Order: sequence, then structure tokens, then C-alpha cells
Amino acid sequence: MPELGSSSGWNAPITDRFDLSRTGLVVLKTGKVELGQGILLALRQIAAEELDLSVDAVVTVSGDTSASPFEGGTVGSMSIETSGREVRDAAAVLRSELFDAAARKLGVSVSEITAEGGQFFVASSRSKETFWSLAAEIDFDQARGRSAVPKSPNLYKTVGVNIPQTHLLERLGGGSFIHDLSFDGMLHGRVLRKPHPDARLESVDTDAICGPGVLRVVRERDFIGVVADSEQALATAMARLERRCRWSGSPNDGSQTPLDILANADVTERVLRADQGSSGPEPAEDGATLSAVYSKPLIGHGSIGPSCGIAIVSDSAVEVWSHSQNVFALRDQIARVLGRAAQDVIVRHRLGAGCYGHNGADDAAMDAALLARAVAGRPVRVQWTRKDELTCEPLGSPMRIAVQARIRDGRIAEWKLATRSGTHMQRPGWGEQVNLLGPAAANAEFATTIQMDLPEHNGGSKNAVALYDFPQHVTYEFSANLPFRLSALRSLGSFGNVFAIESFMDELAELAGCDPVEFRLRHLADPRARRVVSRVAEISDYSKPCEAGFGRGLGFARFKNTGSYCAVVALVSVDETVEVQKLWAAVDAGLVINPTGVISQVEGGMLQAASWVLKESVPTDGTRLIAESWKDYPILTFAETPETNVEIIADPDFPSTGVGEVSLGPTAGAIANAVASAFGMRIRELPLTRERLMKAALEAE
Amino acid sequence: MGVRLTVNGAPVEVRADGATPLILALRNELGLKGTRFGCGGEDCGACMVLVDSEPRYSCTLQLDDVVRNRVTTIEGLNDGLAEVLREAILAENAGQCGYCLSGIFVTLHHCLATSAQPKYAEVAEALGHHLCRCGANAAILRAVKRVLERIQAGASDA
Repeated sequence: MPELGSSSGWNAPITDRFDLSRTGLVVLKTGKVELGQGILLALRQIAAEELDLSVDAVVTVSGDTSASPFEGGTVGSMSIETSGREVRDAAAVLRSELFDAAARKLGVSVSEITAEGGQFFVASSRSKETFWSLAAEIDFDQARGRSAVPKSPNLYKTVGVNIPQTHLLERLGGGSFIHDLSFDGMLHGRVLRKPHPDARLESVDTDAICGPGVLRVVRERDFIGVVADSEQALATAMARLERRCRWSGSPNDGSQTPLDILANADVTERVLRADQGSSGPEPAEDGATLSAVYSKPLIGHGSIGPSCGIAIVSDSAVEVWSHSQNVFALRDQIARVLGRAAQDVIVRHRLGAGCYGHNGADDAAMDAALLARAVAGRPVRVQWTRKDELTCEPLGSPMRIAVQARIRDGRIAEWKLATRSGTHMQRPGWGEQVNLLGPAAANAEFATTIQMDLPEHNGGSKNAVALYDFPQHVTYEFSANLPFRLSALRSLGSFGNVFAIESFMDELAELAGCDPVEFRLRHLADPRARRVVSRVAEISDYSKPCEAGFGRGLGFARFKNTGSYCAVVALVSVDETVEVQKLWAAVDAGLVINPTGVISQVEGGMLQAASWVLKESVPTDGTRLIAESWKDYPILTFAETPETNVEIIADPDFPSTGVGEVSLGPTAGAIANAVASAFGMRIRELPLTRERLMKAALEAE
Repeated sequence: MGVRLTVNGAPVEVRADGATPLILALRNELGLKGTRFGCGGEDCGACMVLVDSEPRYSCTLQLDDVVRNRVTTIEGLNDGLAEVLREAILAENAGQCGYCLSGIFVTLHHCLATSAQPKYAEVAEALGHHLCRCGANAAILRAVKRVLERIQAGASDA
């Protein structure tokens, strides 16, 4: 169950989590992995705090299936929420065991000793005992299931502090990324992908591909790849291969966009919420009802670094290096495809370029394993091309959100929302399927045949229920047969749903003749929600009138209605095209571990959402993805980057909640509302391109 | 077969033919892995290096194109200006994954080193050759402002 990947309660031996065998250091073992979000530093801060160590004294072993605890994936903004809590609990148990051992050894009571930097003190004088001298005294396995009370937040010295993210400077040189790994005798491989999902490899002249430096041409059914002794020889061979492959079948009708296909798709309906008296208004029979349809297109991850994987396959073992979000799930599927026992496959996480969900990382690792099988014992490195990234990675589903509401006495009296989407989950192993490109091409048995979304209020239905206090009827219309490869992209359905809800809130505020901030507060009892909305309005001068051609807009959500709270204000100018001038956010994530890390994640989400809202839509021809380069899938540039200002409302009384995905939906709402205000017309389809604005302006004339 | 180049101030011989992309020789033959492959098409700037002090995309240059030139990678940028840039990047936490950052660093270093009084607008415009996907753009621009303030303060001290 990868995406649910919520870590299980902490009831494992301390040795699963900590290792004290290196004097002066505490090794923290974590199944969570670094994706550019700074998680490892935050987890080290939590452990260092409980153990009164400097952050530098805590080092991590991360995402290694042979050494890390199984913690599911690094997904769903759950790492601090769940793993952070577990690290804190486990560190508190370790601390308590060490203190008990020290008290026994020194013949004093626990209350008489203190520890700093791993050194024990008795009544302020240095003892001969340290964490490391006592490590052998502790039966770590016996500590299973014990509990100890973690430190009170008001004693924190390391948590909540801006420990500098020095890893950024380390990454300026070479060696930090998976792309930089090098092994003796390493070969380079790549797979030629199908031109469209229904294509079959009819014929290929493999002899014509062989040439200097080409070691193997590997073909299995529709899987065709090359292994060469250098990247240059590989590139030459792949260019030849592309010309020599004949594919059968043609893509579906090119006149339909992904949203057309979604609109006409068969769906299953699931009622997410049905409040009393919320059956929804009938079609407008008075001036107090309103209805609207919003949409978002197919969106890609677009990581700046291409997907990369390295594998060594020998008779006895399989070793893989990957920037996967879930090394355990990947390990299981590689084992399944290669017909090995899971314990004979080791997957080790290495840093990739920024990851925003289920991208091509797992595919590249599987590609490497399939190609490495043909050159037993030798390391094979696979690095995708930019075109591979743009046309093969899993995408964020198109969505269509229809909403109706009735205003009575200045309040929303009825609200009916139906959100329609394809799946947001197709990670390796999901639905008992392999869900990887290479195996699906090589063997029909491994093809993905069932599309199944995440259950409950997740996937496409994430944040479909509004946090506001009004009677709601909310339905999820799920299509299980969209002809695209869809999976988890940052915030999943939350982005589309919050964009629609927050846009509609502004439309309803106008109908009610009410200020949009006041209108939201009127429907928000939750004090933490009210606080972020009020605060962002304040710091952004929301109520200050704008010059002609400029507009401000606000968007708000609590991520998945149980996570962090975030409200965003956008200031935009509209002159044929939309320019976002400035973005403000107020975020409440409970107890904050590293404020800089939080700001960085919230701000990154705001700018990525700005890119999605203004520019992004994966170009298609029927079911074929046709982008060849960044020119065909433009993203936000430096020139288009607005100033940002993120304010954290830190509240250590509430548990930490994740921040990686919290700002995307609110930013979409804020920009859309600001554009509607500046432009005088509302565009309900993303992205808000110049063409859409011009079309709307022409139609209005 | 080999190609003679000047990289980071030193003469080197690379075992590759002249049509090899510069980035592959830098990374795989010379072990200079701070230069990163992003797109292969001059769209993202992750592979930026200096050729005779001018920023160039190393993914589309071939070895034959640079045999008479001085190639500088991020590993070769270690002067006082580089230190000021690093400090500003850390102070503003100007990056998330950091994959795009070494190319950006090369461009920024060039802009700041070649102008006596660099202007924010010029430096920001030069970043048009680069893409960042983590949304660290705003923080990177704040780091630029910080460096320029530092340079101006230094100039007025002198």
C-alpha cells in the first residue's frame, strides 16, 4: 500500500532506528528519503533534540532496503507528521535507556545526571561515561515496545531553529546525485519507448544497430534497448535504433483533448459527503443560485534532472541504485519481474533532481535491471532523455469540477460539487500490479490493466470536501479507463479541487455582495483556518484597491482537511498575458522543525503552482504525448517569477503537519481570483494563457 | 586518439573523439560532475560552463569546438566572488534539490565578475538561460540581491 505509506506505530527494536557503533556519532536509520525537500536535516534535528546532541553528531542511513526500517514511501507530506513523530519517540526511548544505564553504572539516580553531546555529567562534573561507552550495556531488543516521554517543546534548543541547509553547498560540486555515481566497468543503457500506448514493435533490424561500443541489443516483445560502453556510443546507437524500429497501431483520435476524453468517459460515482439539506439546488430559478465548471489539464513533473538508475544483476544478487520515493516497493517489483526473492534484491536510494511525485525514477531503475540482466555482473547505468521525461513519465490526471450553490441571507445555504478525475495512483505495486514501463513492454503479464485510485478522501477526491461550514453534497466521479499513464503528482486532486472551490467562493461572494475574505470567514469556524486567512489578508494589504489592470485574489485550504493550513494572496497584472507580481502566504503547520525548510517548501509549492496555473498543459495528439523539449512544455521562468513572502504561524501546541503540498491549491485559487478581478472576466479552465484570455475577451464583445 | 583541452586552467588530454559532447568528456573522462545534464537542447542551463569566460551550454558543444579555448567548470570557480555567492546561497536557502544550481552559479559568477557595477536587472535577465523546477527561483533572486548589496557595500568601503 505505497501511498498510504503511513508509517506503522513505533514498536520495533531501537536498533532498527539507531546505531551507536561509531563513537561520537548517532546513526539514524530512516526509510524516508531526501527529494530536495530537506527531510533528512529535519529528522536529524528531531533526534538531536531528544538526545541533546549537535545536529552534526546525527548522521543518516536513508532509503536502503538492506539497512533502513520499512516506512512506506516518502509521499503525501507525511514524513514529519509520522516518521518525525516516530524518530522523536524512538530517540526518547534511547535516551531513557542510556540514562538508566548511566545511573546504574555510576551508582547514582537518573535525576542526578545530565548529558550534553553524548557525555554524561553527575552534578555538573564530567563522568567517565558517554552514550558510546554505555551502548554495549543496553539490550536494545528489550527496549521494544517501551515508551518514554519526549522532551517538552518549551525546552527545545534545536527543533524550531534554522539549522542552515549546508547540503545545498555540497551539491554545488559533483558527487551528490545519482547521476554522478560511477562504478568500475560501468556500461550505459537506454530503452526505446513506444511512440504511443497501443503501439507494438512489429520489426527491428538489430544488426543495423550494432556498431563501435555497442555491447548488446536487448529485445523482449515490445521492449527494445541498447547497452553500450559509453554514453556517446549509446546515443549514436539509440539514434540508429529509432530509425530501424517499425511500430504498428495508431494512436486514438487526435481531435480529442484529455479533458474531452475525461468529459465523455464512463465513471463510477462515490458520494464523499451528503449533509442534510444538501441535495443541491435545482437549476437556477432565482438570482441566488450559481453554477460553474472548472478544469485542469494533464500536468507533468518536469524534474530538471532526467530519471536515472543503475543496476548490477548477477546470479546470486541484484543491486540497484534509484531516486525512487519508495525503495521497498521498487525492490518488490524488481524481484517479481526478475523472478528473484525479495531478500536477494537490494535497492539503495540516491538523490535525484527535485521530485514532486511518482516520476520516471522507478522506471529508469527497472530499465537498468532489465538491461543489466543481459550483461551479468556488470553495472548498467540508465539515464533518460528529456524527451523520455516529457513523454513517458506518469502524469497528473486531468480534472473537471462542477459546482453549484445557493445563497440565502448572505450565506451559502446549499453546495453541490462533483469532481471528475482519472487515477492519481499507479505506483509500483499499487493494485498488485507492477506499473513499470519496461516490464509492461516486455511481458503482457506485467501490463497495467486496472486503474484504481486511492480510497477515501485521497487521490482525485482529496480536498473535494470544502473545510467551510455549509451543507455540502460532494461526489467523486472516477474514470478507470483514461488512455494516459496517470499517477501521483504533488498534492494529487487537491490542486484541482481547491482551485475550483476557492474560485467559486469568490464568485459566490460577489453574488452575495460581500468581500471575499469576509465571506470566507463567515463560513469558517476553525480558529486556525481563520487565523491564516486573516493574517495573509493583512500582510498583503488585501483590501487595498488596485490600479486598473491589477488585481488581488485569495485562496485557502487545509491540506486534505487534516494537515497544514495555508492561505495565499496573489497580486497580478493582466495585459493580454497574466503576470504574477507577488505572492504572500500564511501557513500553520503546527510544531515547526526547521522554519527555513518550511518556507522553502511552501514557496516552492507556490511557484510550481504559478507555473501550472499560467503555463502548463501536456501537449497531446490523441493518446500520444508529443512534447519533444522544454519548448513544447514551457514552465515558469526567472523573468516570470514573482516575489514571495511566506509567514509561518508557528503553534507548537499542535503536532507537526507536512508542508510540501499545502500551498499549491490555495495558490491556484489566489491567482485565478486575482486574474478575475484584474481582467473583469473569469477563466475557469487552466492554464490561464494569453489565448484563453483573448478568446474570452472576444466572446464578451 | 585524444583531444587536448584546457580545463580549469590546466592542460588535459581526453580519450574521446572530437565530436563528443563537451559535457560527457567533463563528467565521464575528467570526473568533473558538478556540470549536469538536464535537457541536451540548450533549454535549461544545468550544463552551463565558461568558455573563455563566456557562459556556454556544454551539452551541445563538441570537443572540437573548444580545443583552442579555456573551459571553466564550477569546480574551477573558487575565488572570493565564488565565496560571496556561496554565502548568499546559504543565507537565502537559494535552492532545494540543487540540481539546477551549479549551472546557475556559473552564470551568476560570470555576470558579477565581468561587470564593474552589475545591475540586478542584467543579472536576473541572464538567468533566463536557466530553469528551476523546485520553485527556488524567488530565493535565488533574493540571493542575487544580497550579493549585489554586498558588492555595493564593498565598493563604497573602498
